Amino acid sequence: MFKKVLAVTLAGVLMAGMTACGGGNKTEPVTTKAAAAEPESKDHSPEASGESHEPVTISMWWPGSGEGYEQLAKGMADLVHDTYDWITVDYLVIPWGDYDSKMNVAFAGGTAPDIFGVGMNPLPNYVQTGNLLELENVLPEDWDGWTDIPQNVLDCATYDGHFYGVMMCDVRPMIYRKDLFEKAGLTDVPKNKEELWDYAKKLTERGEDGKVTLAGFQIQTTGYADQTLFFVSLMHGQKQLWDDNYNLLLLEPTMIDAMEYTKRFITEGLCDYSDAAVGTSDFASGKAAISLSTSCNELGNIRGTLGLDKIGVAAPPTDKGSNFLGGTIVSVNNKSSHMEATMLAYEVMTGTKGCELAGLCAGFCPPRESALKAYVAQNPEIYGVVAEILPSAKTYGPLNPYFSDFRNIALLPWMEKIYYGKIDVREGLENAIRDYDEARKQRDADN
Amino acid sequence: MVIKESKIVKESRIICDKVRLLSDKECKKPVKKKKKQSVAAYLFIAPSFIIYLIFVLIPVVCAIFMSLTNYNMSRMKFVGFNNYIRLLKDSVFIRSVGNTVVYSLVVVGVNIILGLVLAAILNQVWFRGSGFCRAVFYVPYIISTIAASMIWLYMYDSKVGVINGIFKIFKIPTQSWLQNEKLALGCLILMGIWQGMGYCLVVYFSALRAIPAYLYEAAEIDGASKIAQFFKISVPMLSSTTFFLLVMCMISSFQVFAQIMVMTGGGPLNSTTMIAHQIYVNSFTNYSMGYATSQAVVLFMIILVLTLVFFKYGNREGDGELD
Repeated sequence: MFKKVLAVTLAGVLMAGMTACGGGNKTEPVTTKAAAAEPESKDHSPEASGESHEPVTISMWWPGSGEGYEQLAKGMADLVHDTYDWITVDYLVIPWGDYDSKMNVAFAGGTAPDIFGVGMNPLPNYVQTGNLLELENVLPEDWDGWTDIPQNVLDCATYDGHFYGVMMCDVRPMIYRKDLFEKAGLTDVPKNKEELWDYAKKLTERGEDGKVTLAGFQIQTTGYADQTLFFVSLMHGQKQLWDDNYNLLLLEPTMIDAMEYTKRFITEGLCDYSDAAVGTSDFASGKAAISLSTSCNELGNIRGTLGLDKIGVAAPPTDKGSNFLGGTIVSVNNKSSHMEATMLAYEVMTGTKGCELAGLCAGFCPPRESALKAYVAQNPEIYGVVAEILPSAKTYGPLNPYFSDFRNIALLPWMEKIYYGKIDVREGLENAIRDYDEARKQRDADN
Repeated sequence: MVIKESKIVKESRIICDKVRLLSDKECKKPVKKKKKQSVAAYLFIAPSFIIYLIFVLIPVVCAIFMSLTNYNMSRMKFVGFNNYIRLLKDSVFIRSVGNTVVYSLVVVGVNIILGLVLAAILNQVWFRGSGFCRAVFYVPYIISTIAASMIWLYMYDSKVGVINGIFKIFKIPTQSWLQNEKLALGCLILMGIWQGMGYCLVVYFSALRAIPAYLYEAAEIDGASKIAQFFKISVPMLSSTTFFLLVMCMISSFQVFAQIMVMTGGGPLNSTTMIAHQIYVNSFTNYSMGYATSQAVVLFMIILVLTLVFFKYGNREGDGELD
């Protein structure tokens, strides 16, 4: 009898243990202030400065990885707390690879943070989840951002007529190796596509086996290969990759010329394929002399690898020096349970000081003109050029809700086939448009 | 050589008879007592069953249902078998199935054969340093796949990789290993063999140790050569081990993912994309959760069918029965 009682008791203990384990499995994000008090507060009135407030804790997720992004998130959280000592920001930095899926799961589970970063291209998909706050209805009419931030940057965060956040910018200048230019006897930077070709030829180095050891110009064939193509298309006079109705413009003569031009670098042996999987680019690892697809955020890494003294930065050889513009849009959850505190924190994070932090910690080009001074002061020769080209930087077209289909289903697979010589340029681009249209129909039917 | 009933078989038959007698006695116990006992038994298995239910059974049922929808993380609509029809037309998915089958067949086949041969060599009395060799072969199996993939990624690097470095020393033309459509899958297979062979070796080694020595002694007296002993005693005696390894290795090789993500991303030209990689791409890059789940269901069905086939035909003869 005793044995049976013991058996039943043990089984019960096991069950209870299991339940307890299940209940205690919640992951807590990093708290910036140890003094953080109880988060819940019903009264968020921020009126008189002398008025005391119930402490509030809000959450912020930021995409990226590395020390710079951690510093940025912590810096922003501290900035908010220094400005409003009753607001504490719990922050979490999540690598890009996992970020969108974690955000989607958080939206589905109702646990999304109050403030979060969103990539520019996925913004329409985030909007479609119905969780993003339309900021033009919340921010005051005299909000300084309307005049302090260039129109092209504001447009990057505007979809369907609504404004969804301030974008910390990722601009791509022309970055080149000063030491290799000197070695090749090149004293100036290329000014157009013909010169870029000539420079690439002069700079390319080969090993004993005839294989490229140093590419004159970095052509990315994997990863963000679409960005290289976009830059080349700008050089050929193409303005955007799709029209206002999201129809692809890949069969425009300028686009076909751009693709032929890019392919020539590979077929004529002026570059080797980029090893994007290693997590770096040919330029960053010293295997290319000129890059137009290296973002300004990478300058911090290059400082640690190649050294900034070897690097020259110039405006891209395009009309008005324009090139790809992307970035991380700081958005607000419209289901935030502390909306007033969230908006106060938001204005601090996206204010001049917050934008300065984005530039100094994570290498973003600050979107506010008032924040550019501190950014440029780090190294005027390099960051000054980045700041200058920001107002003329461009996106592929209006924000496209079918962007992932465009990149993953249509363009990249066919671009790869074109680069590998499996298909003619025109036929490849026709197929890309066909696949895009099919994927678009499928997505529309799904929605 | 025919062994009709070994000592072990005889002993186990006696034990079975005793157990049967005991259970007959149990049958005669009153019904109330039996019920109480079964309640206790159910309570004991409840924790593991609940874990299994929550983390395996319910998700499997949910996944099957989700595969019939167009779930995209924000909306869900029932679409019947549309996802499965789409799968049949998806050339990339069909390519991924082909790649996975080729990868699994080669990796599992080579691992089992090499593992067995090496285990037999290490099991020889004359072989010195057997323990050291087993450890060396087993280490790749316990290294994190991501770390191992990074190591191989740098080894295969066309400019600074050690493989091309060796080729250069011997004046052999270097290759862009992971960027070449014809070589990339082979490179992943080589890594798969390197990583999985140690496991097969260690399992075979311990199984070889369990084969009674008198079988080999008897064969030697009968004049059987070492090779004949290997094929007529070792191989048949290891049939259940082979069956176990076949099932386990096949399942894990069909789920290959991490090295694809780290080393090739499925390219070039989809030459290394696998089913698990396609599931990831569709779910977390394209957010077509419903479609990705239908691919997961197909993967589940493939593994299930293979396992059932192995169970039906793979283990007809138990260990200890020799011809």
